[in-house]
Amino acid sequence: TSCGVVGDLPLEMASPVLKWKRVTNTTGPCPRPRHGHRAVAIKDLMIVFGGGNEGIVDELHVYNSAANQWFIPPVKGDIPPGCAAYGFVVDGTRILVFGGMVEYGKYSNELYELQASRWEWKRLKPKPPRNSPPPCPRLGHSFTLIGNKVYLFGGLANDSDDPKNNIPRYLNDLFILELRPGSGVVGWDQPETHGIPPPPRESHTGVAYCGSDGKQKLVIYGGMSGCRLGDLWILDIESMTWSMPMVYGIPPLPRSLHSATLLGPRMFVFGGWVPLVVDDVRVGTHEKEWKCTNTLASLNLETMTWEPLAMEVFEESLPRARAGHCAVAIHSRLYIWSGRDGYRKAWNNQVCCKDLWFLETEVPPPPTRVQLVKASTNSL
Amino acid sequence: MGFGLLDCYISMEVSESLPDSPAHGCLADHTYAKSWNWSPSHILYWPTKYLFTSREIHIAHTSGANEGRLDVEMVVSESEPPFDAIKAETLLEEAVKEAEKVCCNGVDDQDWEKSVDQLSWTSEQRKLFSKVTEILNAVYLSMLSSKGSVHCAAVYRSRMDSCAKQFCRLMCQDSMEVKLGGWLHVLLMKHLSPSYLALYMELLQALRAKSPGVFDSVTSEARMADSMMDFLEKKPWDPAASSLSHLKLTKPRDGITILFLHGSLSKKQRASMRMQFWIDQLSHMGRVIPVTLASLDDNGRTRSLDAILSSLKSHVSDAKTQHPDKPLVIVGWGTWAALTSHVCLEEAASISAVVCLGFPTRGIFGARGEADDPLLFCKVPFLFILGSQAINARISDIERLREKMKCQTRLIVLEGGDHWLRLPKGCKVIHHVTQGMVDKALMMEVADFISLVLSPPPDVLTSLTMVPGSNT
Repeated sequence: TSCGVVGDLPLEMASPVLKWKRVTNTTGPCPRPRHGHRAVAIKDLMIVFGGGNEGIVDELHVYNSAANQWFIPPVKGDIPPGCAAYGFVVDGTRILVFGGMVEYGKYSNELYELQASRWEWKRLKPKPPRNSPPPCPRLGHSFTLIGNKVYLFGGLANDSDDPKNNIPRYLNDLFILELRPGSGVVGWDQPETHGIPPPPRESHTGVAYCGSDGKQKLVIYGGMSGCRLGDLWILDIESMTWSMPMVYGIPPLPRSLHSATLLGPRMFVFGGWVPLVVDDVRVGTHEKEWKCTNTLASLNLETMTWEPLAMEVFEESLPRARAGHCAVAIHSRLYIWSGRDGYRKAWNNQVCCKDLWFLETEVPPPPTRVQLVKASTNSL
Repeated sequence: MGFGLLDCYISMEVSESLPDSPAHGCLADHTYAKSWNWSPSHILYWPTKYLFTSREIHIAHTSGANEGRLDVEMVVSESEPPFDAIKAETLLEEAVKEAEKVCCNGVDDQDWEKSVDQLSWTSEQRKLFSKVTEILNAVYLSMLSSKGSVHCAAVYRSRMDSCAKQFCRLMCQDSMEVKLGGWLHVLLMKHLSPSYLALYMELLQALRAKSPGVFDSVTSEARMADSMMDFLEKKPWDPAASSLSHLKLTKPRDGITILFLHGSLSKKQRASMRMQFWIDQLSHMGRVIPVTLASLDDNGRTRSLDAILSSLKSHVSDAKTQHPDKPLVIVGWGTWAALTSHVCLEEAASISAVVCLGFPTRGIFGARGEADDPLLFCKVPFLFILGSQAINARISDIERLREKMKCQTRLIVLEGGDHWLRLPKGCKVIHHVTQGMVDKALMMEVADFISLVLSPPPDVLTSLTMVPGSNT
């Protein structure tokens, strides 16, 4: 019975019941559509910062998924300048912002901390690593929290000081930022790694995963290095070893500026830029044109398998194709908001999507009395 | 959308945040900020866009160990050319095949010069012969040096065109006797080795297309084989010709009428090959009405400015009455472009957009943009396309002019281009392009501009005036 592994699983495990739902009738001030923003979730809240569209945004917006309401928290402290394609992680109720684009052609390597309980910003100045300079200014990097350490990988640097003359450089360096409990950081570290590191890239995603064997892993997927990438790399945190695991199933198209969100053992990949598939094989091999996609893919990190998805597919029941959107997991739902819908342009402005969607990954059990009581007493 | 194969040649438009070029994805992907030359004071003033600027994308290998060392093992992959390299190769070899048919002297590429007996020559003959061999040797060497590269066809085309120009100049010298040209032709046909003969045939082919008169005077003395004549009568091949015509310009939804003002002066003179290419390509967008100075000047009487202007105005109103529902766009070259501003003042209602291909920023009365310049009162959107090396326009002048204009203006600068928007050979070789590809890239800009202007202003226009962050 070696071939019966998938068949033995309950049906909803093998093919999760998935359904997109557009969120309508939100109350409160709706943020302006944009791309390159990031979001994190704290309980029922989705916290959105930065991004931009013809102007980088420095606003902080919060969406309360329980109340279906947007609100703008009153922030204080060292309020950071707006940034786009930066790194954003949440540890409890503190949020860290690193790098990103702050002006045309100008990237940052500054670190800010937001205490979401007080909505207070603080600029942090972490110590550089012992033997090397701190990470260079960059955008499109991955910034992933594992335990009490944040892992910074790759991104795009600009080797030119002149904003008119951008000299892009793809990176594949790895830095670790150790956090102090509660607030502040210990400093940067550039660890020694083993194995072959992933090639340079930007606008990839990094996901933290703890396997059933208890091993912590950093999963790097996709990105851009001149062409869109679809490769998957794993850094084993214990041994600091890079590896390229064997991946089963039908992989999705290579992509960048997508989102990858962990829900249970599954990494849900949504949207991004993918190569335009041309039927002609000779043309198709040379990646020349790209488009945004609205496809969803699910990688089971336990079995390392791209799983087929059973989805309801109606024209209007799917979010439009997009890239540079944000995605967070709130309970069993995957929320996505805004993003850019391709190279479509109107006048001198790029149009971005202004819709909010969620993907239901589990059929929620009927609410019990206890849960209902909890929901009203336990809200943030 | 107007992006296709050509876009890989258009460098990232440094000054514009609009992503037009997916090939430069890594920067075009991150268009969050306002571009560096964005000015909050002038909403009508679109940031300048530069085409064919040279830059490279460096992919860093930050492993550290190989820093400062030259990597000779990694093969640097060449970017894909915007044409079918295999097809271009066959075009390249066509002349060689033809030459092998004709040539039966059996001399080697290295030896053919020695096989020519120069004893009884005059000094003029010697001088001419050495100059022509110099031209042929140069193109032969450049062909050898670029062989094997996927871009060799485009590079070869540019070099061949410039050699044909040199050859033409040589043949048209004052001191040159007509007979000498014929003598040289007979001599070369007899003594050239097959590969050199192929080059010479290509050279003649290019010469025939550019200056048929010179071609006739050179070749009149010798009878050539029919197959060779057939070859020479063909249009010079362009490696990208098929992919260029394959790449269609975006057509506005309802079609448009384009009044195309180009430089032919007399009625007899046909539109040049290049103008014909422009007309053919633009006709994908709508109906193109070519207007020459001759057609404005029916009776051959006067070419006063007033007469030309009134005639131009009648062309505009004719076009508008024939197709009242189609937007009218004026596309004008050089001085013509300057004239359109006068027409725009009176016919503002019927003209939807103006495209100036090259624009003289100075006239006999000084710089444009003085207090009573009609340009300043135009309400029609203007697109200026200028060569950065144009003799009759300075980019700083046009920027100053644009600031004063009260209509939407857009400026596209062709790096290295001249006042006719031609790239010099050096630039073409660096970018691996032919003039056809450059023209097509410009036309795509024109098409983008027209579709932008004709699309109804969305509500985002109001959000443009807002300073980011001001609504918190």
